[in-house]
Amino acid sequence: MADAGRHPNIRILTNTEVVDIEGRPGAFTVTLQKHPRFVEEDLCTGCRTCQSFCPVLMPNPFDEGLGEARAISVWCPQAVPAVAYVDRERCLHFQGKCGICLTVCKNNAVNFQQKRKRGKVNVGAIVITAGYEVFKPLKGPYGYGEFKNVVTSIEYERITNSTGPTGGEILRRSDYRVPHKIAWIQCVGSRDLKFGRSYCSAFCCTYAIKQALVTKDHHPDIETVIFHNDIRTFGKGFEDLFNRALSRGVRFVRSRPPLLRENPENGNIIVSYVAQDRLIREEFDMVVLSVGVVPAPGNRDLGRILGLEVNEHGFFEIHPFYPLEGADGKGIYVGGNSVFPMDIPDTICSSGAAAATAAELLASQRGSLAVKKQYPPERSVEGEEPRIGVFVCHCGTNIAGVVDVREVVQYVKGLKDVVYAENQLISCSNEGLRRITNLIRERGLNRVVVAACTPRTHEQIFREALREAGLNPYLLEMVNIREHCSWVHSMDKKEATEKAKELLRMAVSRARDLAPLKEPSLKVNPRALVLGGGLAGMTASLSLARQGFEVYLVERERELGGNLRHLHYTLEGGDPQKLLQKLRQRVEDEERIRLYLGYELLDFSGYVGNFKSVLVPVGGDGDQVEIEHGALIIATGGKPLEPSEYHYGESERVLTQLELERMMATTGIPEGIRTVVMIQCVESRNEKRPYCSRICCGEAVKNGLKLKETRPDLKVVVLYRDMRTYGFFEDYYRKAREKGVLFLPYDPERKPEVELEGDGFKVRWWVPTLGQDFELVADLLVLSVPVVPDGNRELAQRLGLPSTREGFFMEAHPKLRPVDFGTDGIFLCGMAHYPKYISETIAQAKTAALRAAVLLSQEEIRGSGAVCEVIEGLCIGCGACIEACTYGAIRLIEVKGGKKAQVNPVICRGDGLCSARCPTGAIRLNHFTDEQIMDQVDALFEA
Amino acid sequence: MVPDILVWISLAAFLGGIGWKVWGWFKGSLRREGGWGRLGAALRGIYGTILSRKVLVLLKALLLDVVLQLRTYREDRYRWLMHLLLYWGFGLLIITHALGKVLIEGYVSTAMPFLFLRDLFGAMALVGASMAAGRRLRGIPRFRSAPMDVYAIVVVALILLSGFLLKGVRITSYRAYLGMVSEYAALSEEEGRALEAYWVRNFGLVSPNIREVPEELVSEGAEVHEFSCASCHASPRWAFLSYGISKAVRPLARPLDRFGVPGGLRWFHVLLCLFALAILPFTKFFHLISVPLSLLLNAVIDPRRSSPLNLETKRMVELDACVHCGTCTAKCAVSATTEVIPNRAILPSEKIPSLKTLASGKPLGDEGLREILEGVYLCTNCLRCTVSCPSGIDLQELWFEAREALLQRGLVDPVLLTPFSFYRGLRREDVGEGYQRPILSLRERISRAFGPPVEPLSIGPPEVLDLSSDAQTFRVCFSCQTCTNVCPVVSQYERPKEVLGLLPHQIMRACALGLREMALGAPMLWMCLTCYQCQELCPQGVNVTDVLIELRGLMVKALKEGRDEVRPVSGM
Repeated sequence: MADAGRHPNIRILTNTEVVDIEGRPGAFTVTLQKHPRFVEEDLCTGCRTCQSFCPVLMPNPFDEGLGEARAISVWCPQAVPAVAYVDRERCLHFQGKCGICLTVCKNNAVNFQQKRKRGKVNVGAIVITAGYEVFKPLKGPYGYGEFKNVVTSIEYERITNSTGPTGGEILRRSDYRVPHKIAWIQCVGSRDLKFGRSYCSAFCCTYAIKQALVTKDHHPDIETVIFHNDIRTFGKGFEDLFNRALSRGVRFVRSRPPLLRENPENGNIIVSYVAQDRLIREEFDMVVLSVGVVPAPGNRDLGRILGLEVNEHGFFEIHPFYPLEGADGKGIYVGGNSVFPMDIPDTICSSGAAAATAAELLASQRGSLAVKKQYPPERSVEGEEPRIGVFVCHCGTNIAGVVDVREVVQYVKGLKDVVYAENQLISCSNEGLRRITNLIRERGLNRVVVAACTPRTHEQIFREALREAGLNPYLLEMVNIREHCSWVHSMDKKEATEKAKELLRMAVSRARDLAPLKEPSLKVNPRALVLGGGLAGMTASLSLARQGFEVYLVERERELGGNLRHLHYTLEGGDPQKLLQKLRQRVEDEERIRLYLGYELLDFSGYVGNFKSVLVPVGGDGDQVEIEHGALIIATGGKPLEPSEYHYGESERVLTQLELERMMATTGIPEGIRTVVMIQCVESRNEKRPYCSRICCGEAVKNGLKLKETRPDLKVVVLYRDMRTYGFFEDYYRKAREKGVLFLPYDPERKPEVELEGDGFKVRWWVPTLGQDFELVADLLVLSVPVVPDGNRELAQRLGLPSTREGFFMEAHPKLRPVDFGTDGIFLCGMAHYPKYISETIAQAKTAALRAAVLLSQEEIRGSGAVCEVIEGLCIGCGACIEACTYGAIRLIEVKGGKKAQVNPVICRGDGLCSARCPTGAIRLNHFTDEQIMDQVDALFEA
Repeated sequence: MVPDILVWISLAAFLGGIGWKVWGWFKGSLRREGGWGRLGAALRGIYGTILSRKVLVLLKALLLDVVLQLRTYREDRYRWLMHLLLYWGFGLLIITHALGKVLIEGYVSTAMPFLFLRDLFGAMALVGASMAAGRRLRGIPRFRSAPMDVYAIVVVALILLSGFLLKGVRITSYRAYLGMVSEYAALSEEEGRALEAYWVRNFGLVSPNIREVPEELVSEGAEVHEFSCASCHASPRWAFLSYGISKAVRPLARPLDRFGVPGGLRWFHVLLCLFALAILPFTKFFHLISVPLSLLLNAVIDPRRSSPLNLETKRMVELDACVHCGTCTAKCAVSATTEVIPNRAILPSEKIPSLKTLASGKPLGDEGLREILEGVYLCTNCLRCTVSCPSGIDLQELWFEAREALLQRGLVDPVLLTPFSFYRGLRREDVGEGYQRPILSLRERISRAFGPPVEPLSIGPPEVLDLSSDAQTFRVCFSCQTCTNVCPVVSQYERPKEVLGLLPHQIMRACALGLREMALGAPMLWMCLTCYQCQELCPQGVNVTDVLIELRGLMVKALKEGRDEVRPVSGM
């Protein structure tokens, strides 16, 4: 959020809705309506002084109404923009009283005269990520709203959060005691036709497990029980989470107990259910309802305005092969939970892909409206004595209410080299910043210390002020006397003032040593190499090509298509073969794509923006090809496991799901076959492959439906552990049951046994629901085998990239950076990342292309000045630093005196690990030099 | 015009019929002796009630249940509106029209407001009657209307329509006009012509004499009208509906008049009314008397304190108070059984005629006895019929009494005892010793018929269970156990499976797997209280209770096939 808020090319319009749209793709005029928030956004600094004076107490909407808020407040600690708003319903001013905020706001930002405004914006494309709401189980048997200790999972999330209403202490609501026993009930408002929500909300299982684990982190002795009907941890790494929860004693009960009762004596919640044929009445101190996804209420209206269709669930309708384009979607792209319930990484991919598609449309105009700021030439401070200016911010009353700011300023004025010091009401306000810039010029300051809030959000803002005065931005030093001082020592004003003085003394001391730094830059080669010509590779290549970049697409096989070649149907009724043909055609027709069919990667070197790859024909015959490119996208895919169980290979009547699909699409099911048994999770979710392959449940449902469609007389039995048909796939699961496909669970401890018998099989297994052994004579056995990595490990080694235990590539961050690597310039998509459906693969591939395009569209990339630097004379070329670096920023180069380390400053992130490792102290971390830090530390003990 | 003798005859038939019916209340019985003793008890009861504070309760019931019909309102607003229109429309029509001369001083049918009110009330009743017909035509699941229902609607509709038609034709009738002129006015020829012109212009009269109506003649006629007619004949336009009809029949007015149609219609209308009155006590219309009485009786009679004799009398009134509206059948928890057993007497509304026969002491016949036996035994005592009955009949009590009455006669259907055993147990004192015996014998029979499953089981073809499409929803069950976790029967037992054989969700599973024997053998089917909690809370829309009820029906059928069904059990 903060990144988006700070970005010069992103204009954020909050409290705003779309009223009308006209025009065509590439040239829309959108009429917007902005509702008043009664605070001027460009004047408010988010200091929250108004909030501390406001007399109106109201339930805090950010805390789900659990905590308290004021009628004027900043929505939440990390709100973007960090601007206050007025709750019109509660504010006393609108009842003719109060108005204290008007007087306490030092920046005159409060404006009760604000009116609703309409305006028009001209845009080329529109991306809709209207999000979702959570289900409120207000009416229904769960007792929510009636029993205090029944809370929704979102409320529980706030209860466990350190910024939440209980300060992060888990307390139940009836008596503010720490609960000993908590139950989660899954599927509240999901998979429930009674609430009109037939779909699965996809991420509740995972978040419930997370919450149970977080609870265990808070208090390991709290007993946690999750009531569920299928645990659906289908995402990457989620099965691990599930197993971790099991090993930490989280209890999982396959039973749905919707009727809750309250014990009137202690407020405990009684859950009654049957397990192992026993009636169990369990008392819990607290029950958390795992509430599901509800489409954003405005979807229908928005759909009407934009001409998009909304499906029967209230989400925007999409075609699975064009998962970003609404029904009529040229120029308007939809993503995230507006189209399908999804978790964070899927949302990033889905919305990223929507942005990528918009970028394809607008490629010809790229950069034409981008804002670039002009600064005066930089003044050299070399040889000057330090002339330090100090600015101490009141931050409204945030700081000044505790710390005696004037006393601090007086004190600072007495410090060595400080030529100017003053206190400011709000330093980050436009006025405050202008004053800093002017004073630098007037007083000839060459070092600036700002004592205010956190550099995390504000350093960039003050650095700008320096640059506008012609000063190198690295000559700024920030001291956080809000979070680190006034907020945490609000009860002891005197000591807080002393601490502020000490912090400033240290800062001044460090500022004295600050040196101007140059930000390094690198040229970028605007071409991309895509490894893998399956669905992901083709999609990514096409997206990049349409965005105007040249692409080298390398495929090991002699033809394009990868796994898509083996798919003949989809759940939704699409034809993957048509999609394949279309994509192939487009790839072949695209001038900007150079195809290397039958090639593989031999060698890879270089760094972000400047990679060099060597390709060789598979099998080794033919010439090597050397390619230079700025980005690399890995889309090498996966493959179905060849099973070693269940007589696979011994009988031609044992098939994998893909083989069954091929049989149905080509020869059809042989006449003599009457009974088909499918076994799920064959050789996955076990010790050896402890992950869920995500797509097999949908595949079994798809093939089961297809079997019933072509041969209604067939008996189709699916033996499963948990049916993981998440999102709208749940509807197909229900449809399959309606059509008579039998889904029967099996216990992983007692796996189904299969004996060959004549042409067929005898399948024996134990059905937990009935507690009885079953035997069935089957004519066809279909195994749902997992997707396994396809040669990833060797490739990962060659590229120096990490991979997971299972052999899939490991992205930079499983949640927040699902297509990036720690190494810049390399991106990931498709089944090389994890098994996924067609629509998900397309989305991820487009997102990878977008991330690559962000890099390739820059002529040069700039790094930070605060990076490591090798002092060549001291380096002995031992290479210890190379191992320490996680970004691959260091390499050894040959110089006259032997090998020396060299840091690529653009790749370096300035974490200083190498500097700490270097045995000779040959690596200096600029901006955090030993000298600067030691002086700062010394200053602490000076007084 | 209509001879008074006809009126007196029909009135006599009406009163005689009522007397006979009322005597039937005291004479008829299910379990207790009828006769003079019951009449005496009733008189004592009435005396005691009228002179106590209970009279207030009575007045309250009269206002809420009889006048405003709030019970009907709670169950079905459409039916409430329909019934209110009929009830008040027809009732007021009787007061302001049929009995106008008797009840209202200075009543003149052609004067205001009566002219208007007649059409207003008639129209209300007509709307009500068409709503009633619509409701019957639309139908209620598993419910069929009886001939008497058709009769009631048709008679009401015919009376109303003939009335409107009569009035409509009379407006145009020159003969009727001449009759009125000769009766009420003495006019010169000129005045006569003027009045006629005025009436043709303003009152819808169709005259053979006048084609063109000159203005001055009309204004002259107005004066004559003012002088001779206006005092007791308002403008027929006030009879808005009839006037509309008169416009429609205008072109035919002359021939109609010539052939004496107005007179004929009048005969038809009046004779129909008298006929309906005469046989009222023997038709559905008797509910005009029995339903208010039933509502009032149920308001003041306390089953625990009132005399058993009066309770029995109340039940006899209740049997007469059933109007066969179908509300109970629509609500009946076990009505789904008729999907697998074709016995109409399973439906509550269809049991009443047989019970009436039983109560009157007439023979029911073997087939009838078998059906009513099955009907009363398949009830699960869920109380929904009693709660929903718009006539306030305590239906569940009737079923209980009928069962016990049949038991007294030695008639018992041994297959069908368990579900109401709870209720019987609760009413042990009424039932007497040995109430458990039938249950035990049933259990034994079931376990003999459906032995425990032999492992390993296999999956049967789904067709083995021939259930209705409502019940076929078991296919979509995904085994979340909601039904089992919310079942009040399951929650009675530490180890419910040992008692119930299979739990509700397991029964759904067994159905999907085609395990017929296993599903039918589960005692759970017999323990189900049809509270419908499982069905209401099932997230996948499986009609769990319906499945259980239909399975039970299937098993009854299976058990009974080729066996003696109705047989005396000694010692009951």
